[in-house]
Amino acid sequence: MTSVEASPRMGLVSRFYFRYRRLSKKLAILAAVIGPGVIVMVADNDAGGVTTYMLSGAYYRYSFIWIVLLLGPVAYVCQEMTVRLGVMTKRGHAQAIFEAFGPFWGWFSLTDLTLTDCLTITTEFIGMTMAMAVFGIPPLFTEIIVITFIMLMLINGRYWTWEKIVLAICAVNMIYVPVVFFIHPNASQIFRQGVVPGFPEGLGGPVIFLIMATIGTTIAPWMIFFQQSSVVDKGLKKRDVPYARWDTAIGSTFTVVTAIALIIIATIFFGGDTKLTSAGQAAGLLMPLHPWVGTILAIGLFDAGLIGALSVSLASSWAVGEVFGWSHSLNDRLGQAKWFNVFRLSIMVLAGSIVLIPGAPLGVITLFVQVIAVTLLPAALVFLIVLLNQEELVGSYKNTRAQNIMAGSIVAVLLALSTLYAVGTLLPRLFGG
Amino acid sequence: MSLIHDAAEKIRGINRTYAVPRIRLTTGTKAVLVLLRIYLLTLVALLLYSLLTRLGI
Repeated sequence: MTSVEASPRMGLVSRFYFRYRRLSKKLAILAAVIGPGVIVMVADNDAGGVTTYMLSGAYYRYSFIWIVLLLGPVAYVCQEMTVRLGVMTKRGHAQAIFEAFGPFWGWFSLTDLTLTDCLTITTEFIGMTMAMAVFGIPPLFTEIIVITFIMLMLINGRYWTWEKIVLAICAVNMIYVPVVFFIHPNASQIFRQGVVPGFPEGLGGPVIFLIMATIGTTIAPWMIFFQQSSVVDKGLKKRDVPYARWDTAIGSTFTVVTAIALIIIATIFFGGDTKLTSAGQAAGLLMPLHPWVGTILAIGLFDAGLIGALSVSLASSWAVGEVFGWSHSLNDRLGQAKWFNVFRLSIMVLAGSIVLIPGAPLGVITLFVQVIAVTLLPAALVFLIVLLNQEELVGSYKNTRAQNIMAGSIVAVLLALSTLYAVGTLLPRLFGG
Repeated sequence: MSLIHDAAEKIRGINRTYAVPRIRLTTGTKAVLVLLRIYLLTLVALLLYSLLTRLGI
């Protein structure tokens, strides 16, 4: 795209008006492009994410804030690659893997994705049912309403409508941020404990586990598949890439701000309480003491679960639809994309059923799902990096050396953490467990 | 029965469609990818073991 500059012969008012018009035009394009990046990043703070941040605040106070600050750019680096790949190949991630690496790796990736997505959707339903239980609404009723709402969103068959509704739901995810201003946390304490890097109580097994869960809630395999398919379904073109990068950057900023707000809230109300097991439990405990905080926590948790269920169920349905050649666009009406919708409905019903098992340890399951997701993430990232290094696929949008080093470092750190945790599981005494 | 047969035929069709990968991996790269997968799946198995022991199952 050629860039038109203001002529030096223009008067001051004309130059100002010219720049104003140019900025307005760019903002209008950004407003049109914004969506996939913000949705995928806000869906990071899904129900599992809310529980993970609440527990990190409750167990280790502000100590995890610096990790969250680091994870924002990390998530941006991973997700920005999917934008370039989607725009240049016009393929969803699953189809891109099948085409580039053949069926063996394709089936492997698709199976990984579908299984982890099913588990992640389970955590979304855990969060939503726990949040609504605070208001006395039974889990089965919550699940039926949620699944019906998610399926009805596709009834008019327009990606644009779907995206705008989801963006409105994403805005509710920021509900935790104003709470921080009302509870007056100690800023210098946040800086000393949270922003200066350090590990609480050393780098023991439980800390590594919670760090992995935090990483797992910020970057996960489903996000790679979701954003690439979303970019393709939305029909973004090469000229939209700079705006799509802004979309992703704005989304990652929202994620970090919301996550930090949650850690602060958890520290203020539950700091040092190692018996807390979930965000739903936290909302219930706050209701008698601070009803408005408990209510906000419950609403936010429900909203987080809803965004998560919406996005994660789409990630695997898009992927399976691409590979099986089913009609899989959100621009298709419910009946047109029959198998795509049947698949999506089935994984939601399956995930919802697990939540209804009496006595299931829902808080523990939530944390473990995040850790399983992050353990499988390096495999997905390696494929992404290899694909982004194929000039015949992505042309000038090939990864630069710096991008490869950053992405490679992320894979190395994830592998190191997973290994540390595995060693800690096998030899708990090594970490004083 | 015919549903399973149709699904199997569909999967065979997908395998035929993508039989020739666009990216040619060297044997070394393939070996590294397979080892990485096996390693990650072992880690997931350990995680599940850890979950089950934590739950006392």
